[in-house]
Amino acid sequence: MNLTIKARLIGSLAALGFSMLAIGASGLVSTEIGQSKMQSVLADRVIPMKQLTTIGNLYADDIVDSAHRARGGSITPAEALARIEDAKSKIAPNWDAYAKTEMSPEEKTLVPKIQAAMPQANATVDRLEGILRAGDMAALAQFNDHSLYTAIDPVAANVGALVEVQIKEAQIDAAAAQAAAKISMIVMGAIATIAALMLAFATHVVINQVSKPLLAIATVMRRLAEGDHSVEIPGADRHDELGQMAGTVQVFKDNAIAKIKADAEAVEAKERAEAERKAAGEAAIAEEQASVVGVFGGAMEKLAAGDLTYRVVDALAPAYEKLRDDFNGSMAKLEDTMSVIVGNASGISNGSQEITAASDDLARRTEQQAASLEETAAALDEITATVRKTAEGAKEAREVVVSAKGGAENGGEIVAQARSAMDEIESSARQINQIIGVIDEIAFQTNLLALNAGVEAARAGDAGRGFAVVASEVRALAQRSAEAAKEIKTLIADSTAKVGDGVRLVGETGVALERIVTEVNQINSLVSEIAMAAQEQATGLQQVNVAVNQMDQVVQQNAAMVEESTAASHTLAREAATLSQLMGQFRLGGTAANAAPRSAQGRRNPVHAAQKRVAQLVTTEQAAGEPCSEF
Amino acid sequence: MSGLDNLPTGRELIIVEIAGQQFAIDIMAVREIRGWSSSTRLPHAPSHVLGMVNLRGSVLPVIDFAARLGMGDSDPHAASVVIVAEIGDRLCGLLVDGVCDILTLQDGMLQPTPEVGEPGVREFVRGVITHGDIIITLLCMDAVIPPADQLEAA
Repeated sequence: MNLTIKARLIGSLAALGFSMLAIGASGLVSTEIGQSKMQSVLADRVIPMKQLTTIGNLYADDIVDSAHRARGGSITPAEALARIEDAKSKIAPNWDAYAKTEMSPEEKTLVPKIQAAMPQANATVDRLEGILRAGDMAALAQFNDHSLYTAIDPVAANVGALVEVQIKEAQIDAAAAQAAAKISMIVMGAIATIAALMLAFATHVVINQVSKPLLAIATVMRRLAEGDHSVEIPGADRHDELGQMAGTVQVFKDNAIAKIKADAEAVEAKERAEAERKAAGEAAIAEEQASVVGVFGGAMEKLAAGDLTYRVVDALAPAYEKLRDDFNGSMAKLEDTMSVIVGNASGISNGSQEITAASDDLARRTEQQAASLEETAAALDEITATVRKTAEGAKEAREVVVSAKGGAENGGEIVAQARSAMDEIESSARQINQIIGVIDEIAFQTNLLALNAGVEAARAGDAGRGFAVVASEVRALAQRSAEAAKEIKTLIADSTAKVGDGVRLVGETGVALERIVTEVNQINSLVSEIAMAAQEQATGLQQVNVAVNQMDQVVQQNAAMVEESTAASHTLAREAATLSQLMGQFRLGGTAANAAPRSAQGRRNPVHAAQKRVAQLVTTEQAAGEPCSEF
Repeated sequence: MSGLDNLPTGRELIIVEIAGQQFAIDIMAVREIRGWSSSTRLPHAPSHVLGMVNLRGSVLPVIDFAARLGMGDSDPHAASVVIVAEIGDRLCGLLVDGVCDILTLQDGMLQPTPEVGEPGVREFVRGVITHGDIIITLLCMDAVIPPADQLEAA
């Protein structure tokens, strides 16, 4: 299509406007038809129907009903007459109004029948009026039963048929209106569909023919602006506004391509001139480089062989003089550095060997320390046991002391009892003494009596001889009893004296026992102090034990650490030896790079020496004091 | 009156103790022997007269025999004995330290009083008796008790 975009847009919009107009027109037409149908139904069917219904009602209700009610007596004949008159006056205008309306063929057949029946009905009504006016109730009854219905019924029946006809006609008209509305809706739907299709088509045309080409041209223009000149300009063959636009863009593209080509040619010419100029200089430089490479290659070989004393002395092109100086300076610096490294490596080697020796010593000492700690722990256990035994002994001693105290106190009581017993003995002795005194007195008196008897017997002469003998015997008895009493007295005195001694001794015993009780109390407090001291010792020992255990742990950790450090120092020594060996490969100016380690064994460990001295001392003491070893 | 012959063998003698010595008294001169009881002092009596005691209702003068014999005053005690002696027709109590024995005089026991140049000794001592280891002085009771007039004068 070679239409312009403007023409296309106008065409599409015109088609849309036409569709809308068609829809509006068809809507208008269908509305008009519906309205005329409604008007016909209202004027020709509904109003006549009302008139006919009124006529039917006037006959049936007002006339017939009034006649029956007048006959029944519910209204007076005058009232019935008034109502019938009223009805008669209304029937005629209604019928005339109806007769003027448009008639269907069916109506036309019914109307003459009604018109024919009406005069008879009116005549009958006039007769009814006459009867009512006369007030003849019997005639009224007669009339009602025989004449009223025969006249009225034909009119009423035909009016009812007419009403039916009116309803039927109205239904037919309504159906016709519905059909017309349906057709109008179908027409409008068709037009709307067509309009929608046209809108879709117009949209498609606008998108495909206008929007998409515009987008394509915009993309191309952006790429051109970015410098891409290889793009194809779309739509150049079009004859519309887009075609013109594409042609203009093509001109931009062609101009840009031409400019790029001119720049490239200028650069190429410049580069060519430069390359020719360079080629001439490079040949001379290559020659110089070859000689320099030869010289430095030799130097590098020496360097690779480990000779750090080599220096480049050959004269070189002036451009390479600085390189030579730098190389020589680097070598000198490297040599110095290597010398220092070799010295340091030797130092490290020596130091590591010393560390190794010290580590070994440390490991040995740590082991000794661990062993000593074990012995200390064992000794501590023994001391702890001893202290516990001491504590138990103190406890037992306390119990013994307590029992001794009880014994001493008992002894005091016993002493008191002994003293009282002695006192009793003393009093008994006193009583015995008194009794002995009585006996002595009796013996004395008996002696006197016997003497008197002897005197009497002597006076009696020979007659008293026998009596004198008896008297002598009695006197002998009395004397014996007196002597016995005297002996008893002596004995009692002796025993009293001894009892006195005993009392004194018992008193002294009591004092001694009291002193013993006091001393036992002192012993008790001393033993308590001993027990307390033992307890404190036990507590202290417990703390010492804990400390020893901690020391043991620390020593174990130390031992582990020392082992690690020994291993590390051995490794270090090996590494240092390897380093020294490696250093030996370099030849240095001053001395050969000999990093042989100094002997570490030459230096003595002061602690070790002290330990040895102590060990010797111990050995000597053991040798000197053999019994001591038993402890 | 104080001859050895007037004291026959077989005569019983009462041996008393005075100031630690034993003296013999003819039993016939003794009426009874009794214990010491406190005496009632007699005013103006010689120092050897201790006083009087009641002997079953009769008054008995008591003489400290030791003092009378010139052997110092004796101290009366519970064991002291009063010899009730019948000298002549008088009774007199003689305080002695005690009665030791009743001795029957055997032959050869009695020996004459040694001569010491003092007539008083002969007056009081009729002789000495050796008995065992000890010497018992036989006293002359007549000299011991002073004459009645002398006593009464005292």
